[in-house]
Amino acid sequence: MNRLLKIIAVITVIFYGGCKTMKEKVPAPASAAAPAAKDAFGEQLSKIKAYDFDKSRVDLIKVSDMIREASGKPEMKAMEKQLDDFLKSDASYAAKDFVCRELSVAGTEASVPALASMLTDEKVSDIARYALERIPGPAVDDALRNALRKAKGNAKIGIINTLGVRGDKKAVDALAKLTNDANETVAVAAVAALGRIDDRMATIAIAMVKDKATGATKTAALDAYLRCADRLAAKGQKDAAGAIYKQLYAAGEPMPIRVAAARGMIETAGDKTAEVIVEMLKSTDKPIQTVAIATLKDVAKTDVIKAAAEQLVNLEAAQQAQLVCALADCGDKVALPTVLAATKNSHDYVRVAALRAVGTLGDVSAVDMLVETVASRGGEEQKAAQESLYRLRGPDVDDEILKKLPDAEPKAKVELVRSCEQRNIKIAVPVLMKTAKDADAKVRIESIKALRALAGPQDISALIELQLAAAGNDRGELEKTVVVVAHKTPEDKGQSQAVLAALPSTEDVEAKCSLLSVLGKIGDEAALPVLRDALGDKEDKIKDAAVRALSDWPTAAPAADLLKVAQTSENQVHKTLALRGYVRLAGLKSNRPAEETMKMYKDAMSLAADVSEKKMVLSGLGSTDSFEAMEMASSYLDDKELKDEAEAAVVKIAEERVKNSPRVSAQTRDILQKVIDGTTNDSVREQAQKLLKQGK
Amino acid sequence: MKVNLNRRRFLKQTAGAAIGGIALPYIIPARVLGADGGVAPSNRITMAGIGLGMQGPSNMRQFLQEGDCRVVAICDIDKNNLRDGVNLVNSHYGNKDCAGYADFREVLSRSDIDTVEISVPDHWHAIVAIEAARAGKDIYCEKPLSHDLRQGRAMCDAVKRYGTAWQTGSWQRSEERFRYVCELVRNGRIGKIKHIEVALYPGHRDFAGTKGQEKIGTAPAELDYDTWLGPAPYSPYCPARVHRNWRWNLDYGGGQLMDWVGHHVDIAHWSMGLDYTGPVEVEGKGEFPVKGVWNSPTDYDVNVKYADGLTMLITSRIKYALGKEWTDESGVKWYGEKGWICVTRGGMDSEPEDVVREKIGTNDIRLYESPGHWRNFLDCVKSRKLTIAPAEIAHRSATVGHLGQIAMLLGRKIRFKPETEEIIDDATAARMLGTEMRSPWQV
Repeated sequence: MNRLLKIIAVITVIFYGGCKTMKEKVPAPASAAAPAAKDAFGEQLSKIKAYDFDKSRVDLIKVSDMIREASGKPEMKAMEKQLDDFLKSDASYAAKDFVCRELSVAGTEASVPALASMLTDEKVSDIARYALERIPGPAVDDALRNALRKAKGNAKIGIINTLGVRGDKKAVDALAKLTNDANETVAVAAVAALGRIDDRMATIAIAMVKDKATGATKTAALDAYLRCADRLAAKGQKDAAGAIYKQLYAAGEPMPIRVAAARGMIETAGDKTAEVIVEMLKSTDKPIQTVAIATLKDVAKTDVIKAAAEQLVNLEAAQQAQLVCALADCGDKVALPTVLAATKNSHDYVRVAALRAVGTLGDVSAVDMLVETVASRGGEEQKAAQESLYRLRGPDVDDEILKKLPDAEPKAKVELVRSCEQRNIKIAVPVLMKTAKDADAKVRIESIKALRALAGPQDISALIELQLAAAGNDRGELEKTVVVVAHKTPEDKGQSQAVLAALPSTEDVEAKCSLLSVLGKIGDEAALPVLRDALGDKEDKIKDAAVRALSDWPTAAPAADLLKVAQTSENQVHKTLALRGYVRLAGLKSNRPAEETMKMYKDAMSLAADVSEKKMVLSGLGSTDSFEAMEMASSYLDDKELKDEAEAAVVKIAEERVKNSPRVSAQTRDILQKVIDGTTNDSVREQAQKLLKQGK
Repeated sequence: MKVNLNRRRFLKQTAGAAIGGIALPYIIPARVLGADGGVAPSNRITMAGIGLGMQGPSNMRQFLQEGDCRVVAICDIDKNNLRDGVNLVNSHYGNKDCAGYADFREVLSRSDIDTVEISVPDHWHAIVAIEAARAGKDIYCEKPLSHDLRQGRAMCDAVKRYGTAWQTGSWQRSEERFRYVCELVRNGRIGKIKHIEVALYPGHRDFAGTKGQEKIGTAPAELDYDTWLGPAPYSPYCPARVHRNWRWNLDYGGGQLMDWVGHHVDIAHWSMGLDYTGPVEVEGKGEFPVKGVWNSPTDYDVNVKYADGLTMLITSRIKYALGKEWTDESGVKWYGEKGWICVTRGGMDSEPEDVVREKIGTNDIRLYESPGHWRNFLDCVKSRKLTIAPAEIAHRSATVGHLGQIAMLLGRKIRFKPETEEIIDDATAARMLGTEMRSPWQV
């Protein structure tokens, strides 16, 4: 960061010429002693005279540092003079460009003569303006006006632009004359500059150009006139602004100008806003109707919204949809009757817009209509009504949904249950516990899913009761719900406590298996002894459930248990399941040393009874970021049956290693080369070749 | 804080059930505009792509997928980019109808074009965008909005003046995860937010493979180099200066800082309801290269303060800011009274851990939901609703970057008045809010 002090000249972003009345603040000096002596500075300046854009900036930075250190001090005056003299010298263009950028920050009116002398020279006029556009003071404006008389081509246009940016009122006469210039680019620039100057005479000049000009000059004049009106409106001169907007709104002007003027008219209409908007909604020009609709939200007055809403029936369908949308954005309930009526519109996209608007403007009274629409319609309308049902605001809406839920027809009941979930109605849990036992299967499943989101640790025992009483798909969904809700309990508060408590009193084998499955997915260490015990249960189904539960475990903690089952079980299914689980656990992220992970894969490979199990081990090995893993995978490259998996594993491991460190060892290169030489898979070969190329 | 890798799950999936998918509306679905599920030609939104060198093709591909959008013209001042852009469009439609232009003004003069997609270098944004607004076109424009604060203000004024539908390429707003995290923050799930850390990328990424190619030379025949420079100060051609790497020179872009404020500061602003305001104090330190054409800061810390006391660090020190062990992705981290939330494009995380699994309820504050960034633009062209990333909002996030650059360049704290967009009591800094344009260009 210490190079920060060197940056002013390095960067020299370009400046804006405002804030003339501000007092210049200077950066604090870097040190108490500021050795920016005139001679030293001159010497440094002389070093940059031949600077060009592709040369080192080191000397420029030194100049910048010296200016920065002198900024605000008496010696800066003399240094500024040296910079001005530099501009008059035979220094290179690039060096003068640099100095002008410096002056744009550090320059004062003292630099005006030097900079002004460059203004009429097309080759250096732009770089002079970098500085002049930013330096405050009337001397700059005088210089620009003087130069304007003599300048030609792009230099002249640049000066016009800068006068506009500086808002120089004294330039209005000269600029007004240039609006008739034979060179259209000059005329356009002059009109645009007038548009930036906050001056009555500039506005009048633009009005005149607007009426008589053609082509690009006319277009520029219309834009400039709009700017004048916007400026007047911003200053609170709404009548004057309104008069300009009205002129520009006239038929015959280009539509973008009319649209902009229409917006201005609305914004300056005061107590006649409703009248103006209604008039525009009655226009035969769609863009005018549209801008009136789009501006409605900015106005946001109840009487205006009401008046606009009343016009909805007179609009064509596309504009009706736009207006419904705008009414929703306004958020004023005065539009609700119109929006509700539009839900019965003959055009489906108007109905869709209206149904969505109900979600914003509606209240408890809309619940029935929305539920019925969701239950009876399809497609976009159903989706819109559903979304609105989820978004309707107010606590009384939740109460209404809960009130209707128990006695609703199945289709409506499903939607009401989903609403409970989407609206996050936590007090719905007791009701949902009942609907989770509903006669209708869809209602049951939706209720169980909603409970997953809404139930808390306090509800877990009741959920387990439901789980044990359920069957088939319901039980599977309930298992997921119990796991999710158990995870809402803090880790140190026994996430599996309720399930463990239910286990001893559960006699039904299927129900017991269901609980063991849940324990595996919860992954609370307190459940591990129970699952380990279950491995020795006399019931095969229980053993089976225990192996699966341990295989689902979120950490490698039960790896040894699974390895033992895989090594010693007499049940082939259990052996297979345990081996799969063991390989899965070996692949989980862990802080254990890499060699332990390697041992796990070696053990697994030694137990793999057939090709498919060996492939599974190689697949897991591919996720291990170590050279040993790559080496192990490579040892199967010559095995015809395992070759494909071995190649994939080698490439995957190598990719990960190159990503972390581009250095590729000779051994790794050899292994990758072996893959390249032996593979029949083009994609694998390309990947391996790419890795060799990437690696160093 | 120590993270238990076995237990903590940095959520890489979308938040799904936790977020609760409500797609906010487009109002005139494409399907109803034409018969048989197609879109009648008269109801298609016609579009021209301006600037096909970098983000342009990617944006074009997005719009080409939309049935109610028809890309009819491509504009680029590099003949190779122009050819590739036209081919991209024609091969998609299976015809040769797409027109090619070198001059954007010719494109804007076509009355049959409704919208333009602008992916030109930053120093060109204001000119093309303001001309497009004047011509009555609706605009999709890449971020950052502007090359300097004054140009950004002029763009916003023009967009407002002409009632332009505008979408900025800050597409993270249209991503479910970013919206969800912003809703968590807005709804106080980690309490009052005191501090935000926005981690952006360091360095200069060599997108074009032209790093070090700085010898002054003649521009290739296919490139109209003088127009490429346009309003920027004159500098002779060299490959490292132009295509795909222009962002690293401050005459044309704003380095990594400006490239990314339009994404992550934008998200930070959204989360805090700061979309229409800005900071009151900004100070920063930057590491600016002293050699080479690429002179934008490679490392930076920008400290920002808002009126209510909220502070934000924008830094290139990603790991320092996000504190994540397993990624180098840029992102945002909020620190509240009750914990923290972190989001990147790859995932989200929080402390307490379950915060990023919480549901956003109906009576919670819900933010604008977009069906997809490019889709949202087209919908708003039709509905005239405000898009999810309008110009004014993009201007406010870009402003933070512009002020950060000025503060770094001056090496001191600057004070800012967001209501009037003025720098207070520092006329030198105030000079730097705008950039003079090379003649004949102006906005």
